[in-house]
Amino acid sequence: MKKDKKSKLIYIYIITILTSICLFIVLTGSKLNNPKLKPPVNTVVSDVVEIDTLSGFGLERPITKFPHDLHTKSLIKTSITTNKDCSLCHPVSEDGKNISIKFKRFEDPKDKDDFINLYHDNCLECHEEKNKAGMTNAPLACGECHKESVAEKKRPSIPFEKQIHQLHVKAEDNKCEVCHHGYDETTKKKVYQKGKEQACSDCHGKEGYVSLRQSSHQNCVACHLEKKIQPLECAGCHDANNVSRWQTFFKNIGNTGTRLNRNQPDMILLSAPAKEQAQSKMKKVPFNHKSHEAANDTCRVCHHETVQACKDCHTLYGDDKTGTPNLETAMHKVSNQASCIGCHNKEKSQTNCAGCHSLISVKSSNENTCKVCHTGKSKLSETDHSSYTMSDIPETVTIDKYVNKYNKVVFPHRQVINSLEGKTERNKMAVRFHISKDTLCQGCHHNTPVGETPPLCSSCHDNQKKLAGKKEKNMPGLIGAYHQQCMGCHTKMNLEYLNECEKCHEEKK
Amino acid sequence: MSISRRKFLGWVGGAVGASTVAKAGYTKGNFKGYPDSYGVLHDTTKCVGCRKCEEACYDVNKAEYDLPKPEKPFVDLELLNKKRRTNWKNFTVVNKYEAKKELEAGKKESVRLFRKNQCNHCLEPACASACFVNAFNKTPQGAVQYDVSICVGCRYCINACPFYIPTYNYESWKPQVFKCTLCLPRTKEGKLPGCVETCPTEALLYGKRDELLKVARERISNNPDKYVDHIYGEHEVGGTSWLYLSSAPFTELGLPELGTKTAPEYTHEALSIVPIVVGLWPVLLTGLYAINKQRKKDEKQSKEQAVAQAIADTEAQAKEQLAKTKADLESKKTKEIEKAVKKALDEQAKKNEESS
Repeated sequence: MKKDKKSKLIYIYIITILTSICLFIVLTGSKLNNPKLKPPVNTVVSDVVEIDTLSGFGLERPITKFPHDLHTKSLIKTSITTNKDCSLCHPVSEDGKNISIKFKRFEDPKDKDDFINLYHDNCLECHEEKNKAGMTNAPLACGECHKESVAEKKRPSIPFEKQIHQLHVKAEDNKCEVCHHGYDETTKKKVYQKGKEQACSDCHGKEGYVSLRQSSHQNCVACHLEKKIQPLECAGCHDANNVSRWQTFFKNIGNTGTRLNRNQPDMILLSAPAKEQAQSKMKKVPFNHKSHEAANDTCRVCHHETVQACKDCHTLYGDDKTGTPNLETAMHKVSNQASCIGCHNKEKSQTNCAGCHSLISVKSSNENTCKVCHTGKSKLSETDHSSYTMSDIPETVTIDKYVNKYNKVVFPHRQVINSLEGKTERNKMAVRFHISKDTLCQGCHHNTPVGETPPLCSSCHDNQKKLAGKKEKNMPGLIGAYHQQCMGCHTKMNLEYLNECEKCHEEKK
Repeated sequence: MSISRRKFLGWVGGAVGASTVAKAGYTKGNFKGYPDSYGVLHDTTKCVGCRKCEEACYDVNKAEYDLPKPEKPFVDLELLNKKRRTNWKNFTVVNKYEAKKELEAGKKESVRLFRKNQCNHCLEPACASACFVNAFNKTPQGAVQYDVSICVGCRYCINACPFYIPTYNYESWKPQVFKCTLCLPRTKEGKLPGCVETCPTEALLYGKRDELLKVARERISNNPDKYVDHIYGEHEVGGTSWLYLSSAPFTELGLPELGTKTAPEYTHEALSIVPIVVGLWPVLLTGLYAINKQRKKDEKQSKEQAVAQAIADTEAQAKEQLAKTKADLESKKTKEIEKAVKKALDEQAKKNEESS
């Protein structure tokens, strides 16, 4: 019996030890191998070229993530003495006008082995050379290129906005034809059409045209290399940090002077296309093109497809076949930045404007709203049609209708209007829309037509808090209305006195 | 103990019948609330975190619940910097949230929001479902009413609530759970709940739940940029009487992401087994026990009988054997005697022959 007990115990000990060892391995091992627990490495780079061109044939090894900038840098270093450029890897066409963005080829070879050899032979040849010259540690073994890498490519699109454009204009001494060209269908050649310059992506990237990638690299990189000016590496244009640094730089040095010259008008009268104008019956809208140019970074903010008049594509009824929205939608769609209303709404959400404008709901427009723009006159109104002067506005307004726990509020009415007038004068768009000062009243006196003397708030807002007793379901009672209006405005404009009742209500004695 | 088969079957039938009746009582989450029940719409975009609702709640309830004076006055807004829970002294709290609102371009914006937290008066309350003494009652007015005179202080309701609302006073001997009452006595008199009455910005709106839903939908459709297109409480855990609107995702406001399955729905299957178990199992088990016992008794009896029989048999056999052996011995003896006599006679005869 004793022997049995002893052996049983030994078995238990052994099993416990083995189990704990296994558990230890499993638990700690999984933690050690968990990639999420490893410290993050900045792996998102702009110059990674993922060579997966053979994926159609089936890949046997992980794809090579080619660090382009590394090679460009090395080339630049040596190009001073060797006079080599991109054509070292990217072949140039016989007429010298086209350069391929593909490696050592214009067309992809059809045969799998040819394709593989294209890369291997060329890359390894150069690498061997370099290694012999003792310059670099260029990879030669299979696994050194074909390895799993955490590098991710990210190439945000470059905003070639007006200030960068202006630099190029100056550099090329106003010669637009250096970059801009049109295309003649009959002669199948590039031609320059003065006055019809457009954004590159208006054509490039669309069906039947050379890709934007090809054309921009061909045009831009080639010129930069020729003139030996930065940026020359992928990261110079495609790295988000670099791009934002350029943008800040330009914003800080301010508008670099002259306006883009493409014979654009200063002032236009916007209307429907000529043959539909009679049917449209809406008065034409005077549009200050010059000031809108100054307010936007690129033409494409509004001229989103091509640099033409809006009505050239957006007809009165739209086009179902192409899916082009009609003129009204194009001009008024709130959710789209290219539309007038959409962009204006975004401006109105700024701190200085949001106090009033955030409380005005999208659905509160009425027949008077249209008249603001649709005047039919070719000039914008410059006169202040205000029906009041400052002295007409009461200096203070005492709000004491439902004084209970809290004392009355002495509202500094004139001071507030003064402050609002000051804010509107600082913004060009606000100046335009609030040229008649009495439009400011509508921020609080929201149902009073412009120019009329507003009634007391309590004429509409009673003190009913119960939903059942309200005249209109969504209309707050008087106390609620005051607090929502006042505190809503203060919150949106980041003003003080948000939570301290005594700042507005006189102290209870 | 012996049970007749008829009796046994009768017991089983009765138990099954009772348990099916008990199960049929639950209608499985079809309850949309009493018609004309009231609720409150809380628009968090209008809440400014002034804590007047907390003060009003305290004023309304301090007499009945004998609430102590708050440690910090209600005008102190510094304590909004910490998240607070409801407790036995505070049936409602207001918390400040730095909510992350996602704009279309994938950018995130941080917006400051306040939210009042209190019992949500669910349409199918988990607390009422968990309470085995029925201390909670979902009233037709909408409020979930708590009766302290029945409560045994088990605190199952605290465990059950998905919003962590009911709280307990551990410093008192009295078994009592504390939560918002929706000011049921006041609303019965036609007054507004204390918090709704005082809210200066009308972030709280008291009315019939159906109408509040309509108001909320109207607000969302009139201001699509302002509100998240969802009314929290419309369907969460089967619907609550307290509805929330927000300009940022509700999880940023500390509201848990709950499905539409009501709390009773989670537990009713397990709980419905209880009557069957309690009714059926004793009967079954008792029956089995009785049968077993009887069988054992029978076995014992027959065993004893067999033993006795065997003993009797062997005894008889032994006796027979003894008699036989005796007889044998007797006959053997007589034979021996006869033999000896014969031998002696023969010898004598022989002797006689020799002597003549």
